[in-house]
Amino acid sequence: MTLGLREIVFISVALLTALPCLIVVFSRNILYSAFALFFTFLGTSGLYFFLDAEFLGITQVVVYIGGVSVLLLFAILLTKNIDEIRKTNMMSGVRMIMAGFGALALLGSFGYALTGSVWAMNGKGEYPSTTIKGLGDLLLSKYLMPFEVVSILLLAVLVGSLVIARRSVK
Amino acid sequence: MELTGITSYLIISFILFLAGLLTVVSKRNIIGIFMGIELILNSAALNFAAFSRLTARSLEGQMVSLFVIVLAAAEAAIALALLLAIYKRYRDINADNLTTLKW
Amino acid sequence: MKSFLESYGFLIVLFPLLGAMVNGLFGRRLQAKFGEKLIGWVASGAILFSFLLSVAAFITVTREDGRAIMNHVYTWLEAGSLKVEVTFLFDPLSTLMLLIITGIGFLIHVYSTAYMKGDHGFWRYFSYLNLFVFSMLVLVLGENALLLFVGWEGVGLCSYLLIGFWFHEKANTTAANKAFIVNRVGDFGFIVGLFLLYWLLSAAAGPLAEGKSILSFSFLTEHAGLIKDSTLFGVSAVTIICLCLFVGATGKSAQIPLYVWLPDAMAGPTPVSALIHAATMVTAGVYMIGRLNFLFSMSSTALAVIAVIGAATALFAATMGCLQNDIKKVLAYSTVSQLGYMFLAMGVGAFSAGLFHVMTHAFFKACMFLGAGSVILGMHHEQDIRKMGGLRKYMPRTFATFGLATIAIMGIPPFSGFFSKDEILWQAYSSEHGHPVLWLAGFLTAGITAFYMSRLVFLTFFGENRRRQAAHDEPHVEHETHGHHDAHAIKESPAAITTPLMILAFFSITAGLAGVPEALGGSNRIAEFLSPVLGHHVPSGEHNPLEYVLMVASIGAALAGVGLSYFFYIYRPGFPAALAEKFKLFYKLVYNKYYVDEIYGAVFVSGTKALSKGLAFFDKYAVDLVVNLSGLAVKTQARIVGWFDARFVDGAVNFVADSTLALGDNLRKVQTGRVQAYILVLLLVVALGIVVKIILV
Repeated sequence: MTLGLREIVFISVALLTALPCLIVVFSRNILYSAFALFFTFLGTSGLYFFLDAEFLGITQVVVYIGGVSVLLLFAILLTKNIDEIRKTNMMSGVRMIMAGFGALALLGSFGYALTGSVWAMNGKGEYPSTTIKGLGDLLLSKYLMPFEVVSILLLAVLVGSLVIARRSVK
Repeated sequence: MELTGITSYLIISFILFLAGLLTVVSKRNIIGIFMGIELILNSAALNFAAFSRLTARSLEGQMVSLFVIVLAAAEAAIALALLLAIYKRYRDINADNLTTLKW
Repeated sequence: MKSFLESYGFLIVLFPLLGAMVNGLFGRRLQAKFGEKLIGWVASGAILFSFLLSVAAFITVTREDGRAIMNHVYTWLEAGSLKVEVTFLFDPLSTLMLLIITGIGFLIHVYSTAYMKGDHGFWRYFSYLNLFVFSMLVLVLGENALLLFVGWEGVGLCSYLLIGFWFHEKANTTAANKAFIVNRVGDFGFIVGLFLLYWLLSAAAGPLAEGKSILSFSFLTEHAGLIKDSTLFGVSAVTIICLCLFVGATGKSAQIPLYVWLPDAMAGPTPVSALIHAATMVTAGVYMIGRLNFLFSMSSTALAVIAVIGAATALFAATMGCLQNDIKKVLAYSTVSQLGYMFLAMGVGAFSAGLFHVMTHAFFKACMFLGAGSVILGMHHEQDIRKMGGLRKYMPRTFATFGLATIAIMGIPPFSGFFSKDEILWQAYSSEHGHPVLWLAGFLTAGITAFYMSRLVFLTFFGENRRRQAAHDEPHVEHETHGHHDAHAIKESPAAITTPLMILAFFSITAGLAGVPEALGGSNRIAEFLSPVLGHHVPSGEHNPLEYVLMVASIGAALAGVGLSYFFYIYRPGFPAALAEKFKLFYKLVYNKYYVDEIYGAVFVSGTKALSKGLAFFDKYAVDLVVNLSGLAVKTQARIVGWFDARFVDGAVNFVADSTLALGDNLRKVQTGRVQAYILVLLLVVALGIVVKIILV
């Protein structure tokens, strides 16, 4: 394993992704969890860039960090008293333990799968340097249907969230 | 093993997944649970993207990742709208207390 | 004539039946509309018709030298091997009986029109009387034993109907019941005898009986010898059959031990007593033995039994007749006694003598009964002879006829009774089945008969009328209630009554000519006449001088009896009472008929009642107990099964339901309402699944 610059940056980005997860899981303070999530997203975006998926990376930042995280923070602040913010994100110990078992099992099976299988490399196609054009093409040709459906979905979400969140009609 | 090979991405996404799972299962705060969901979705998207670049060498994996991101956002909007509605009604966002669908 | 009889002989039987039906169905209306005269004409006319035909039949049979003429009417039964025809037989025996039945029957019908005058049930009486004649004719004319039995039963029924004619009195109905039931006991024996005869004969005859009517007399006469040597339970079968048949005869003809109904039967109207219980029905038993004489001849044991019982009955009944005070009862016991004579005759093998006595007895006994009826009418329904007396002044014709009939019964020559009775006594002594002791019994009976019959005559017709005397001594109280009719006037009965009396008295005197024995120069025509049926009468060339001795002896006994009676009741009227005082116990015993009725009542009647009570008790407590116990057992079992079912079966079902509910109750707790729990479960299961899959693979 060569430890060039690329690798070092990669490892740091990976750590940036993985470590805040633990904070998300184990923190009792919801604001801490929210901010940790923010960093995870950031790390994931970095990983996308490593994968030459620059459009995806940008989208990740814009949508997840700029949209979802902000929304999350808004929700937190709207629903919780700042004074007690330290005790806002409690966990159930029992469930944690049980889930831990499950996680371990999955971990074991994952390890087994990982070590036992060889990933088939069948990519013969040229991987474009800029993906945005390719994605655009795909979106409007092969994935047109999902595109339209998603747009309708977004419309529904828009209307739905307004309906759900508004004050009840008198 | 190549460090930037598929294996590391898989590991990372698995860690994200497990973290998200644990969060969903054990958190009492609804927003906490939601955070877990986001983590899980994120891990899936990452997985797709990794495979698309490193194994399949086509853009379709990214396509899926894109859609996942879009859907995650939409879902976030709905979930938080629901949360606000629940908060308005019960003034409590502890998942353990919201048990009206209990037996 | 013969062909007429062969085709239309049944008319003799049919006319009385038609008379009975007309009077029975329309009598009430006819009597109401046209009066009693029409009823009487219809009934008597029917009998007259039969009588005329009977005369014709008799003449025809005589001309045929005694060969049988048969009138086949139709086939009654044909079931397997049993074949019974309705055929009427005209031979010497049956035509003789025909003449007696229809002749005397006709006279009695005429008599009844006067006797039963004013009775409410006039039409019913004549209907029954015609029915009786019909049954008796069937009995006598029947060509086979079953037809005889039909008539046998029929006369029993009519006897019951007529004895209980005035059924509003309980005593009458009781007497009728007694007659019928005692008769039935006898009939049972008769039926058993018939069955045995049929069974054994059909077994012995085998192919010979193919398609033939076994019980017809022609078949029987021909083949009865086949069972001569058969045995039943080690005893000669013929003896058993004859004894069974004889039991029937004792019932019908009032012999020991089934005679008890006859004195009670006097509760019926007097003409009925005359016809049924003197002249005809009671002789059915004698006729039956005569008809089946070949069968009886095969068993000397049976004959001996018959003779002994006949003799015993004759003597026994005669003694009872001495002390009776009811005019009809005296005659009843006299009938029983005379019937004993007839059976004595049959028992010693003197069949024709017995039937000869049937004929003569019919005449003089009917005459006496009708005379008694006349007396009763004259005395305004008084029947106690102690209250009578001196009636010869008031009722001369009745007295004359009655007296003549009495002389006949006593056996004084040349009256008919002498010849028939004497023949019997001689045969009792000398016949191969006879015995001097039997003769002695008959001899004594003759003496006693004379005694009590003359007693009856003396007390009734001689001396002063005791009722009048009693009435004179008391003041007249109820004069005005009698209206124009003087209650104490006793006068002679009308012509309708006295004419039959005279006719019968005439025959009582002259009928003896039919059977004058050779010993006295006659040819015993009746025996000869009946010989085709009763066996050949061998005229013996020499006459045993003993016969004459016995004849004289019996006459002497009769005269002695009369003399004694004269002494008792005319010469020294107070003597009988004194004698009764001295021998009080003996007197009481005889007067109460040796308490036979009481013994029967205690043994049979009370015994049967006690038995039925016992059985009812048994049924109630033993049988019902068993039934109730079994019912209880079933109920208990049902309860147990029910408990079991409720507990276990239902328990199982309930358990299933309850466990389902419990399971549901517990399982719903899974629905915590918390999504995280669901996800947790999902996670665990999936993890488990993956692990298992990996491990297995």
